Amino acid sequence: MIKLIQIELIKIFSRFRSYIGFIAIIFIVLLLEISILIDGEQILKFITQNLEDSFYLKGNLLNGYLISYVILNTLWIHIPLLVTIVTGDLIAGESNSGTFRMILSRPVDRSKLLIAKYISGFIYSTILVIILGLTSLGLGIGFFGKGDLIIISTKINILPENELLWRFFAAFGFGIISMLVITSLSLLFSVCSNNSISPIILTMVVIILFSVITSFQIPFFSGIRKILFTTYFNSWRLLFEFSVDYHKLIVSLLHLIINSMLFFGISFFIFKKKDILS
Amino acid sequence: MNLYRMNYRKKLIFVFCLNLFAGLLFSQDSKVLLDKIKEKYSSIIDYQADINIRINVDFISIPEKKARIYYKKPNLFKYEADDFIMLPKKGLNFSINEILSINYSYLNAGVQNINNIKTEIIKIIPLESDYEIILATLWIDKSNTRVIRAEVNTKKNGTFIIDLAYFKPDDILPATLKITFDVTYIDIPFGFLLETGGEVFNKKNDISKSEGTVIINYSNYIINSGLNDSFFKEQKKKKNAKIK
Repeated sequence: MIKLIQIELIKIFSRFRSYIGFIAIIFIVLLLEISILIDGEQILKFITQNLEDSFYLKGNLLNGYLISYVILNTLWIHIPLLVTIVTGDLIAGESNSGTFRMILSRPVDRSKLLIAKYISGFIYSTILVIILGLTSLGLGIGFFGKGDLIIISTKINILPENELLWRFFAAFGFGIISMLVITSLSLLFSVCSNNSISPIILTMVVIILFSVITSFQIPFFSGIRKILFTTYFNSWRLLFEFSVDYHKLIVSLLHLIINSMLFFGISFFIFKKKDILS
Repeated sequence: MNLYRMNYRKKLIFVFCLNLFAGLLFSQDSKVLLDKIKEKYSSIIDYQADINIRINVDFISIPEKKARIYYKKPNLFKYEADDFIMLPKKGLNFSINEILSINYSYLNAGVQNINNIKTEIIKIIPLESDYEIILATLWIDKSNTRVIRAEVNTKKNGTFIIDLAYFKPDDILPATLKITFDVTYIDIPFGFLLETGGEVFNKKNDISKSEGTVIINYSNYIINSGLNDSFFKEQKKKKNAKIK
């Protein structure tokens, strides 16, 4: 099994498209950090202007943690798209290039092959999230230093510096679980398709459609919203509440894991029954 | 003098004179008290202390913070902290000595018990037109000659109330300072820059939540250590450069 995963990982990392995600993340993070380096102080001043009328604010608020938090907010919806480019191609790519017949003519169990592809896809998405974490936090702290994190969302939360690292690690951990859903969904489309492009595009369409429904706060969608996995993608923000609502967080995690298992289960069932014609 | 034999007009004049005389007596008494307080507070030229800051404002969540505060007469302040701190502009810099040093008018507004301490209420009206404070009401612990509450009405920053608690009966500087102020006008661009995932806090929806308090506990006072003015100017330079 480990050998199979190794082979699949070699396949993934031997393609140029696998590196597009890494390049894109590093480029976007750098671009955002430089723009915040230039204009960040003014933006922060605008936000805290009225607060400064009543309070003396002393300390480094425009720090690496704030930058990292802003980047996570900005990129969280785009990272799945980068994951899809690789994971959508896991099965369909083989079908498209006609290599499946050759692989499956050897004594390799179909289920083991699918699991190996799934695990290697998950490893890829995990590395992508880790790269995002390391670049945003590393460059952020390098450029802007450390300090408490001010979050002005539904209210003003000021989180002490000594609590931030575990919160960020947990948030990235949550992100990895979110990416597991994307890997599972794209694997499902990949199993159903015989060309590389369709599963990638289909996964992207589903993510965009679900995200639109999630963000539209109208009663018509309230019932559907609860079952869409995109609703729980933003739950990592719970980790940056002053008092973390662990119950809500666990419920969100369970939703994401159940979705992942469901998508993978269907993929497994289809792949086992699938006629390999290419 | 027999009050029963006096006619109505004479009675009225008599009561008026009595009131005027009592008012003058109280007024003189108040002036003496204010002068005593001024004298007592004047003995503090500078001080430094460790402070613990607790902010209780509905739309702000911040843990208890530690800092060190430095003060020098008449109104130089400096704060030092290892991490981020928020300190109220109102109240913390309010100097009883300063308000009693300007040209003011005063009025005795009676007595009141606060936490079993009998206090005399004196209203101070600054007579200088460009002074920020319009009216300051002081609750004075007459037996210890110190202020235990002050309500300050300002031109630009609304009204705030300061409650002071002390370690010992003869202390001048407080052990605890509780500042209560209006927060309804603090308009924060909630959700700006970052997406919001829930209901944006609307402080204007709930009038009972329009007040905020900041509780500051003082410890390790060092009084009259001879702080230089230049020590306070360092911070002013930094303040102009950044949000600090």
